[in-house]
Amino acid sequence: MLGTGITLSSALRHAPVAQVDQTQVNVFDSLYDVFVALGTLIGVLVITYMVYNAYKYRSGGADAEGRYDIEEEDLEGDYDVSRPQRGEIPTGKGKGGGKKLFMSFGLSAFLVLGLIIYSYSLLLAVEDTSQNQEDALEIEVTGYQFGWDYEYTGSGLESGDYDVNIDGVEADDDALVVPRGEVIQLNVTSRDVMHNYGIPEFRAKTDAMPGDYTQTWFQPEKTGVYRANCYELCGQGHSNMHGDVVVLEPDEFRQWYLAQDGTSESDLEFMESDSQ
Amino acid sequence: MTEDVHTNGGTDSHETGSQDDGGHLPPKSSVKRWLVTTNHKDVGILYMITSLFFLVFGGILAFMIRMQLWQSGPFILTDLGYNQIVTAHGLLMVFWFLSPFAFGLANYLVPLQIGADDLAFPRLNAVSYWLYLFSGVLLGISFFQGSSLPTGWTLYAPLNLPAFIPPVAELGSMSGILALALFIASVTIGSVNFITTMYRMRAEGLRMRDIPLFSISILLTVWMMLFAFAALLAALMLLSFDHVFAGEVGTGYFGSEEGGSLLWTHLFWFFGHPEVYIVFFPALGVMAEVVQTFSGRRLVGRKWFIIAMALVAIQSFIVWMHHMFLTAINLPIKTVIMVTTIGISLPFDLMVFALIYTMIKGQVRWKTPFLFVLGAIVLFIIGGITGVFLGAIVLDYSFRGTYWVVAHFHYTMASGAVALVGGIYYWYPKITGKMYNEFLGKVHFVAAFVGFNLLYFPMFVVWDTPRRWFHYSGTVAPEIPFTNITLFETGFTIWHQMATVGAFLFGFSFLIMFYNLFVSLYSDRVVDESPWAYTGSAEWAVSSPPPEGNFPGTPSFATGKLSFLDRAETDGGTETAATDGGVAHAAQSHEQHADHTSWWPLGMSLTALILGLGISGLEASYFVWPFLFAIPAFVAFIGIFGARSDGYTHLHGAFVGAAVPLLALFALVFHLHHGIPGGLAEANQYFWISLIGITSGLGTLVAMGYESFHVPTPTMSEQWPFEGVSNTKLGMWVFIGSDIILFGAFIGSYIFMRIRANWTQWWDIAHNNGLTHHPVWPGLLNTYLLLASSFTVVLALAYAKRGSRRGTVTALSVTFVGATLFLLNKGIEWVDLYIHQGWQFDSGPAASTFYLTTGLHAAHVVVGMLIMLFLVARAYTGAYWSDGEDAQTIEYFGLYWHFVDIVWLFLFPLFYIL
Repeated sequence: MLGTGITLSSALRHAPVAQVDQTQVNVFDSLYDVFVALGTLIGVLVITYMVYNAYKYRSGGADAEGRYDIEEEDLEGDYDVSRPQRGEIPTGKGKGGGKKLFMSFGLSAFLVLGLIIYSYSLLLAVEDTSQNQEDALEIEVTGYQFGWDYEYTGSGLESGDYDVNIDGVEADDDALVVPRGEVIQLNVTSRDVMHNYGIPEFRAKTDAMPGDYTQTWFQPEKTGVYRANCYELCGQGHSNMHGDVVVLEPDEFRQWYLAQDGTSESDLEFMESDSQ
Repeated sequence: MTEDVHTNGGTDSHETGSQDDGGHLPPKSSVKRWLVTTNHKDVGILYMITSLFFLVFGGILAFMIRMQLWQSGPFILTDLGYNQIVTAHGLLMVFWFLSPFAFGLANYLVPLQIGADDLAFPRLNAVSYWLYLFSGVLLGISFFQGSSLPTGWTLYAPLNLPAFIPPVAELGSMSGILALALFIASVTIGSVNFITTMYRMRAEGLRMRDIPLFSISILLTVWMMLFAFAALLAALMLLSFDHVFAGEVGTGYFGSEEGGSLLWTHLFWFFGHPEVYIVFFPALGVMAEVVQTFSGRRLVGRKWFIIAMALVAIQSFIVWMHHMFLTAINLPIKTVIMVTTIGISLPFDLMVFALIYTMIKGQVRWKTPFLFVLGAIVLFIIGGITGVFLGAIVLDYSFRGTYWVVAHFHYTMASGAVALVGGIYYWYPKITGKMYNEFLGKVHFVAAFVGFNLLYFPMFVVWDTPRRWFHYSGTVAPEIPFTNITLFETGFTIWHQMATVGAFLFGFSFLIMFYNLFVSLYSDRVVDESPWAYTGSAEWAVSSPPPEGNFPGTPSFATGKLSFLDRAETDGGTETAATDGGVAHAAQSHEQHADHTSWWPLGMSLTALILGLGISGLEASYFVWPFLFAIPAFVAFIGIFGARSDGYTHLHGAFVGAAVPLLALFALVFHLHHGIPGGLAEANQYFWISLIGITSGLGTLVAMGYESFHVPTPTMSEQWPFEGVSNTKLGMWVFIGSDIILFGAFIGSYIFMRIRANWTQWWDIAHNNGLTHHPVWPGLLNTYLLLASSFTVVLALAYAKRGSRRGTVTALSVTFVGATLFLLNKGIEWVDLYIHQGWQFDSGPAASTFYLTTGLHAAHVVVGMLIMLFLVARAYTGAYWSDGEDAQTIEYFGLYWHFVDIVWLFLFPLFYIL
């Protein structure tokens, strides 16, 4: 089974469809649109079809008239279908419907499979960026009850060693500060219980588990202050466990970053290669 | 009636002339009836009423959640209070309402539908019910011990450990865990019972594939229950171990650095995903039955419907990791799980289409049950489609931990609940003999359907709300897909307020149902056999409510149609009362043979509650003592009850006599360890509660073993594929099946942790943690001892069949001695490891896995020894070997004993050699 997984994931990974250069936000938005549109369409169709038929074939049959002990009657001009009879072997002699059943089953299977293959190709794009990115700002995120600590992997700059006094930015000192337009690579873990690190604005999310590292990434396209929430019940402060994520213009970021102790230009090489 | 089945090794020494009142049911108006009944219909009604009580309990908690969410930030609950209520709401609704609600119907209907007089083990069925009730009571008690579990119903590790549970919640958390364990005991007994019944007690001519759809759905459900709940039990046992002995971070199982957190998610979801279908399948069965009846058409593609369900049941065990896409599992595994997950959604498509096509060309009557089922299908379609969103991993990444998930699973779960409510309306006339009020039923449906959608649809709109948060904020501005046209823009609050309004509408709609069902009991709308046209299955062919013995004669489908044969002549197969729907014609002579009452199910379950409460506060240093002190009591009980039941013999005197030195021995060891009286004075009240619980519990077990309780085995029944296996033997096999999963989960956890820790350096790590010497020979010696004892059990059976009292008693005693030597050897080994070398329960992963896994096995050995004491006492007075006695009880015990041996053959290499 695992073999299937490896084959499938590596085969599709090299298919052209997987080479999409998109942020997680774009991927999510486009996929979500497709799913909402198709889901609504199919849902409305199927439900309407069901209710329409239940209504069309409505009947004032025997038990609908307030009598509480009824005999089955043979209806004249009845359809050619098999009606249940009391005391029969429940299997009865089923009639028809099989072909139609499999047609609709096939159709829905086709639709679902199509959707999933499409979304799978996007998953590979997301996973590829997550794992094979060289020009990225790498940050280690550690969850704790109840907040997030960050460490810039290149320099070892950590929460607590820096402050976030930047003009025009209102954010807490334990905020994550990142440059706009770059891929931000997060290695997430926890030092106590299980958390889940998520920045809804950038559709980045991953579990923070003690003893394990998980990866996610995002690429902020606009500056500002955003929120990183905890998405896994982690204790009494869970409901209020969030931190700030500050996105700065690349120049501003460079300036802020280099002002901190122990940082150097070489940490920021990832910004050179693709700066516009 | 040629053969009697004795459940639990019950005796038949009272057979002649002792048809005391115990065998007959008091009238329904008597309270006593409901305490002692073992009749499946009574138990079914008890299940339904109790589960509705838990629905109200969980519903009130839901109201509190929705009240809190009326506005963002603190409102009526504290942080801890909110977490407790979120947790208890989930646990109550999933475990104590939905499944038991379905099993109330199943208890009532399955025997009727398949043509059985009762379940295979009626007394165990009552045990299931009472354990279920008292497990829920224990969860309720946990709120009064300071605080209940505050961890969410998934109990994710390591938040579920004492290190992270606030001190005020420690007792209550342990109670919550034990309540779940008790619930699993109930479920496992119930599963064994239903499986045995459905394979062995069908009416003549009814093949497995012929049984009605509701019963089919229950059959698949109990199979899933049997295996899934065993995995949860394993997880809870490991968790209890952590709570009592290894609560520090970095020790035990779930706090360990060897992926403890991930291990819990694996164990929990291996149970948790089948659980989704366990909860939903009975509802599918109800949908199929109701749609058939009210469409007046046989289910389209019945065969494919059943095959689809069976596929889902099997596949449900290989999709669990889709709950873990964001944990540290890798892409190939994610891919496999994604494929299996999509695979499991497709059979549901087929089932929904089958239901819809059945309506076409039907005679569709829009009565209340049909309305509820139609509504349930609508909810299920919405729940299903939004579930496909979650199957797309990229979307799942964003939906994880949000209200999308909350809304999605409430749509599917409540779809099940709504269908089951439809089932209640559908079978209410059958169960009570009265018709409910149709108008009020329809009003209930409209209120419930509108209320439900008002409650949960807004959650899809504000899905970005993190789950289990009440500090929500943000704006929502849905766009029309593929455009940038925003429909509207609002804050989250208004949507959550809509949901709260919907919650109250949905909740209060059930008051209409309670009123309707209660008042209708006293109406004059009397129902005969079937108030509905186009009913098919056998329950509609008897009066409403059905007679005590279910059928007017032995039901048979041999002619291709249901007919009732004369009970007295069923051996000859003479047909007297033919035609479907015949009412009582034949004499109900069989009634006199069967027992229908017992106090012990209630008594035993009550002691389980007391024991559970006791263990919740039992300290580690006192942990073994209540259990040790109960053993002499058990030995004495066998002597006393045995003498009363079988007549006094010297062996009974010896049992009572042996209890005294045994107690003195344990008291001496206790004195060396804690000191008497100091140790007893220091013991907290939970020590005493545990002691009372376990002692009286073992007493009730012995009493149950000695109680005379007869269940006639039908002589004319369809038993494929188990014609050659007796009911009790099949039950034992099925039970062992779930025990295999239990051990499998323990061994799986060991392998998981060992791989994470580095397989080859496992023992080096152990040596760093204090282990100096871990000899192989005690394990090897124990292997020989156990194998030899397996051989003597076989001898015991052979002697019993030959009719030799001395041989039977001796062989059983030798087996007992073998088991004693096994435990002695193990005890010496443990004392060396634990005390002399200082390698304790929490000394790293090797220690925890070694002690707990081999300890679970040792507990199985102890249980086997206790049973052997009982068997020896019984054999001494003539059971199993003398004329007219049944040697098979020894065979059933032998099955268990061989299983315990075989497990050791796996444990020995894993924990001593590798």
